Amino acid sequence: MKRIAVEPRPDWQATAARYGFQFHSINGEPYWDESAYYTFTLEQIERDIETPTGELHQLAMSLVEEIVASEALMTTLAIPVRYWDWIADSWRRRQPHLYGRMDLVYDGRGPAKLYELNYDTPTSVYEAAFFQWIWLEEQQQRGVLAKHADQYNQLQELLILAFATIGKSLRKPFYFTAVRNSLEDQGTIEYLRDCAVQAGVRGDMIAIEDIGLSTKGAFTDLQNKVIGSLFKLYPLEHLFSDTYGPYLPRSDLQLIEPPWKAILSNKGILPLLWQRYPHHPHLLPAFFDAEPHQPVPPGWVRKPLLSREGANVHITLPNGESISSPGRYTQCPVIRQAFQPLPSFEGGYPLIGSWVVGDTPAGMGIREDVTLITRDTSRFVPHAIV
Amino acid sequence: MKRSRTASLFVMGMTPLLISACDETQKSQQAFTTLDNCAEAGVPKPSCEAAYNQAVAEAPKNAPRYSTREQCAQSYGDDACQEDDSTPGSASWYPAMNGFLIGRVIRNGAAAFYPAGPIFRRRDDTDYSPHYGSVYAGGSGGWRSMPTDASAGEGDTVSRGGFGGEGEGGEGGHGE
Repeated sequence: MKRIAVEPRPDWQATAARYGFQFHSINGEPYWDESAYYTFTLEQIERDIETPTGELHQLAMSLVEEIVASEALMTTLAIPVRYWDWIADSWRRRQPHLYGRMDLVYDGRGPAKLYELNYDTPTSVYEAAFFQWIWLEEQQQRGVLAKHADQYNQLQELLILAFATIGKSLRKPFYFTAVRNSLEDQGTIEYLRDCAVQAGVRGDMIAIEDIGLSTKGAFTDLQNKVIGSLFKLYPLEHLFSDTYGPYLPRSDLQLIEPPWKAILSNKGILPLLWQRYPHHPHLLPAFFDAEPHQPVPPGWVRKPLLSREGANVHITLPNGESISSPGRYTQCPVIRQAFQPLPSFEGGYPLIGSWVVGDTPAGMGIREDVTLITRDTSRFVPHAIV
Repeated sequence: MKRSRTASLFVMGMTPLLISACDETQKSQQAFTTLDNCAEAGVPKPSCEAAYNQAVAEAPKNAPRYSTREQCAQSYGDDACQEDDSTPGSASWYPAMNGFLIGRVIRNGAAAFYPAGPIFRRRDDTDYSPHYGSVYAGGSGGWRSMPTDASAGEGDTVSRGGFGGEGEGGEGGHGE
């Protein structure tokens, strides 16, 4: 695993615009950053990323059955009671899921360690699946990368396959939704919709703020048609606490990701994994933290159960120094996870986003930050297998 | 190879980000009976082919269904109706697809084309579209505007805006 500085394609911004990549820069700074790329050997990818990803996914899936059946565990995960039966039912009926991303710490040598599962509203899929793929192709054509260079990235192929598979079970009309004012989230659902269309599955887009409620408690589109199924790039726990949330269990609306993903996107899954599989080589020690107001001891990280984008994370380094990120998840129960530093490569801290489509390890995207906490301001850096 | 063999976009990059009833996007549609008709109307060939292929695939699933040939023929004509005996014991009749529909969206001067499913021509020369119910203005006379209030008659929405309340938190998107 190496970080290689390289001249960005002179026309990369025009290329991004041509392919509908509207969120390639944030506040004038590139979010898509091709001034460097990471290289891996095929063995590193297959042995250290792909295989552990499949294994960790199976470990996580193995806990769902037990958790949805346990009132004690559902309480521990702070899931509101009124949604328990609905979540359990969605699991027993095996309502289909599309994808998830697990964040792994990996330095090219030791076993990759699981930071967390982003299994409800993962983003950066367009960057990883499509634009990173285009980058590799173009850099090969321009002679910057060798002809035999490859990439761990079967994402688009597997996404199209997944839509083709679940398409028949989706009640129509099928919609993709996200908040109206996020260019990134809108771009992400636009891309997923494109994959669905390529699989022959028709789906339109609607802003989540535009969804209506009918007298019978069904959810409606802007033509007042009852929405059959909904891909939502909007956290389940936010749906739960929104005004319309209580209507969900009886609405007959099919969600992707399905309600049972509320179990796996919850940071409480990390201590539960560590309880069930202690000292597993790809897990970090993790515990429920009963004393959220006490200082974080050295060598530990505190995370809220429901934090997004690295918000409200508190780290105390082994030397006692503290790093905190702001956020609004202040009222939430917390967990503690052993501190595992991101490796440093020429001043960048790369975090591996390893994708699972359906239940299949599917590819990888790397986000790099200048601090130890990866936030939504981190940069996406492409990779190649050489 | 550890990567997708191909990666391509079908509509992304040429579509407006959000199409809602209240923006100024101009929406229209046109029915075509052949790929040549479609290309002659200025639709890019790949869009024609995609719309045609999708319509062919959808037609058997979304065609109107009748339990007897007579019922089908009453609406669609004797020659159009065919039997579906793929499910033993529950034969049904449905009309053959007569053409395919393409939706066109123009925003900021750029046109995007969408597959909009098969059409079935009735005896009275009107068209039935499973996606839209009817085809506006029917026939082949160019792009027809769609009324923005087109609805399927389930119009009992009592409120909107009950989702997305967490969007005011100021952190932008909700993906992670």
